[in-house]
Amino acid sequence: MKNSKLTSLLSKLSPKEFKEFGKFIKSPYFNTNVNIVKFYDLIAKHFPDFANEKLTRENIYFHIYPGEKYNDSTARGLISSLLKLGEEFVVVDYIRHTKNHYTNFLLSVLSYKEIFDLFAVNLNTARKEAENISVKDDSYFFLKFRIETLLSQIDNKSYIPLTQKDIPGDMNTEDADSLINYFLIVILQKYNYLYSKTGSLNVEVDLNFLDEILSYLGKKDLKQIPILNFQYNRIMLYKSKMDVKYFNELKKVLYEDFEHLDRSDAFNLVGTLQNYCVQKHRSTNEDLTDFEYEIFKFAIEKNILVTDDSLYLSPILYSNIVSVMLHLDKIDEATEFILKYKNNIAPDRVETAFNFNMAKVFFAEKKFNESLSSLALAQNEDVFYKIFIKNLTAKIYYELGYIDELVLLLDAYKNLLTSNIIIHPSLKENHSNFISFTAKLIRLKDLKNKSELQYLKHEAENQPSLMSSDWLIKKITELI
Amino acid sequence: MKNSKLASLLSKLSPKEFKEFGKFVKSPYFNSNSNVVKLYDLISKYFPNLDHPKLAKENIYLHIYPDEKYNDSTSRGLLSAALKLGEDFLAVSHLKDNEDRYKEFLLNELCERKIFDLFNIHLKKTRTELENIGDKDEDYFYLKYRIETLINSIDSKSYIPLTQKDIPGDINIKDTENLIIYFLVSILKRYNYLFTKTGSLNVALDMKFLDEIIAYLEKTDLREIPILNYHYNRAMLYRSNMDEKYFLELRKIFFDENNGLNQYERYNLLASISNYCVQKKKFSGDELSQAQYEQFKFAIENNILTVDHSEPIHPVMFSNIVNSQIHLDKENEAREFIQNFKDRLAPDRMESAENFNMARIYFKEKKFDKALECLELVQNEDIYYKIGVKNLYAMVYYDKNLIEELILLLESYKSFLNNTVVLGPRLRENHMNFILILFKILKLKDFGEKIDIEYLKHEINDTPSVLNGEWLIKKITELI
Repeated sequence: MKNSKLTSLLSKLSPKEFKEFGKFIKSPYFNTNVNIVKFYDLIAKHFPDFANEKLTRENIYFHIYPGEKYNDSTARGLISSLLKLGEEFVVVDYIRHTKNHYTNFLLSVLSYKEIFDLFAVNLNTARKEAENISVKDDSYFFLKFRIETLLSQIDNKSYIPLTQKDIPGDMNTEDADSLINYFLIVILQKYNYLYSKTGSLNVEVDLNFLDEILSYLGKKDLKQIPILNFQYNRIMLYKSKMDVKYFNELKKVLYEDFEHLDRSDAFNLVGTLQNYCVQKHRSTNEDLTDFEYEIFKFAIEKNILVTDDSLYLSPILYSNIVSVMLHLDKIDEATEFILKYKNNIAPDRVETAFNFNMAKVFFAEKKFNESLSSLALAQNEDVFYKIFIKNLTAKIYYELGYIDELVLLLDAYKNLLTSNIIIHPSLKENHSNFISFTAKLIRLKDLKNKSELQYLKHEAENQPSLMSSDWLIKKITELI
Repeated sequence: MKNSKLASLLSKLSPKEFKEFGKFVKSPYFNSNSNVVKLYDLISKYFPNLDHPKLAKENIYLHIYPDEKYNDSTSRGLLSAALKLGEDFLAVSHLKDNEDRYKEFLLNELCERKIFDLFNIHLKKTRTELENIGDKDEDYFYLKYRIETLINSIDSKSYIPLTQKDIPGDINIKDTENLIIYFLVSILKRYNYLFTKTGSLNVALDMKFLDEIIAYLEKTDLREIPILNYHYNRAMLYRSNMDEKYFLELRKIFFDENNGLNQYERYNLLASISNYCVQKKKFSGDELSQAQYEQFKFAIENNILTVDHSEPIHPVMFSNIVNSQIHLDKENEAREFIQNFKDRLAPDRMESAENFNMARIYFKEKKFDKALECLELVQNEDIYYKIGVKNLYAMVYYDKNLIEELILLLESYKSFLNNTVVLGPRLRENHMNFILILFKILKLKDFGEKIDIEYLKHEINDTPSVLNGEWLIKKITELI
């Protein structure tokens, strides 16, 4: 059974689920084959050790059909039947434990079978429960759309205008309204995701329908639907190339409507606000690090560093938080954060993330050799690590006076940027400018030409896209 | 148990479903209460007679707890537990019947649990099945959108750009494309329903977002998506106040046997183009009558007379078909249609429909007494019958020269139209103009000057909305 599709599925069941699966198998509604029950009972003895030698196809066969000659086709049939039941189990279990889907199915079938008294009871309950939900997200509107559609269908079938009393009044458009809200939330979520992707990766997307959607939303009061309000202002922020008015609206959403956002939206809101701060710093040199620190603290306190507790913390976010703390000279806090959250990173990425960020801490403490030792332990796991490791190494070499090594490194760094087509042009420009300024800095380091240094400083201060600009300006100033 | 919610639910189960419910109740996955099993076994002895005295609450209690004193609260608890299981049964069996949702949930669970080998197998299978579907409706696009979303979520979680080979290329936006089509089809379907309702009923509507949707669709090539093309042209037909170009486009789709539309959409398409013919007939005369007749003939031949084959034919559709045949002097065909298809009307509406339409045939054949006999058998089942019957009575009275009866009838007909608030303004105007002109004809009938009669004829031709205009003109011409 080892390496079979059945093992693949059963290995993902928790012990509690596996027990429930046992009841499922023994339920005549789903299964009446006693051999499958015997098969389950055998596996149950070894769960979760599916590699156990007692669970080979032959041994399973002999357990179920003692004294019979092995028949491979029957054995395969048994495994295949149990797999089919396993698939059915995960679906049925999902529905039973997902309130919205269960309600949708129940109301649909009650309406279809015209059991109207029960339909009305369940409808009232579903409506009350829905209205009491504080986070009215896409699934809320989708359920509302489905429920109101059922109601419209019932009204439509039973409506016979006979007397004056039968005037229908305004048509019920709640189904259409809910469908529109559902659609707008989901499509803006997707468009925002695509926008953020195009921000870091060198890819293009055609967001057709966006103009019409924004034209419609621009006329609407979105305060009643905080999630839509968030998605709208988020996309407008990107579309307007970081207009401060959308940033201010998003800040309001964070502080006033946080409770009405689901965890994933709250996470994305923090990411968007932080992205604004980074981009503003890059383009106008405006320092918003204090605010960045504030939102990261908020995110840590509210436990929104991940969209779901079962997910790992992103190494980029981990690194960004450390950078902000270090920028504000909160070295102890950064060290504490690195240690406290390192176990929240995926096991295969934790070593690099930990060492890279510790290297940043050591660098801030001017412990350059320790910093280099930590960097040596960081792997070039992705292209972003590659460039950021090169950037930090360059600064350490400069601080340690390793000019020959630095020159060689800058060449390799430049080559990487030139030949790489994954990195987004703006990020590439940021790093290229760092290389070019560092090269100039090296050249002027020995010459000590004050006017040229002053000019370089002026250039650095006015360069909108420059990686590690604070450090570069500091180093130039030291030479003047 | 009589009148209980449990009885209400069980009474809607077929014998086969009731048997399945028995397996469900005996399934440990759903139920561990043996008393509910006893209750089921007791009910099964009398099913479907749920009013049987043995199934009174007290008797049920004594059957399950023999020798114990009756406890109403326990008894109710038992019925309530059985009801909950009944609801669970309906929801789960509905899920098993709903292939699309089942596939969606299965893929979702396999993705969430990271069972990628099985996910890929089912993905491939579902994609193949989807591509082989002939009628691609909104559910098809919804399932595609959900599948593509899952694929994107897997890609996004596993994507680590390390080398040049990892360039993401164009981002997969199939999820958003399918979401948009799903939304557009669903919302236009609803808007089209609302458009048709506002045509006959006096109701107000606010179709939010429609302008933007139309603006988007106008720049999109819709030919690839027949269902969207159909809904767009249908919405535009109503929105443009019956522009011929949309009618011609819809007619083309209707007569195309491979138009990719399901029965429900074909039926609605027929209703839309018929509605156009009714509204435009006054201006285009026999050409549209012929068009209308051909549409109905095609619908009869291809069994497109109802939204689904289990539904009864709507009396209005039935009546419109007869009308189109009578209009082209095909009384025998109309009579044949009534005889062949009257059994497909709902039993409680059959008698009125048959008599009302037979009355129209007799009227056309100038058998006025027979027409009156039939009209007397028509019940005023709804407001449309009320006005339709009054209208036909008026023409019969006129042709039979029953002037006093006619005047009394016209007064009550007028007062009815004035008082009813259910009718849409266009339909009301249509009938009101008929009454006004018939009153004028009556005035001119005995002492009218030729010039006044000629003027009235001219007036009818200039009235855009008048019911039975051809008959009225004929009656005026007889006076000249």
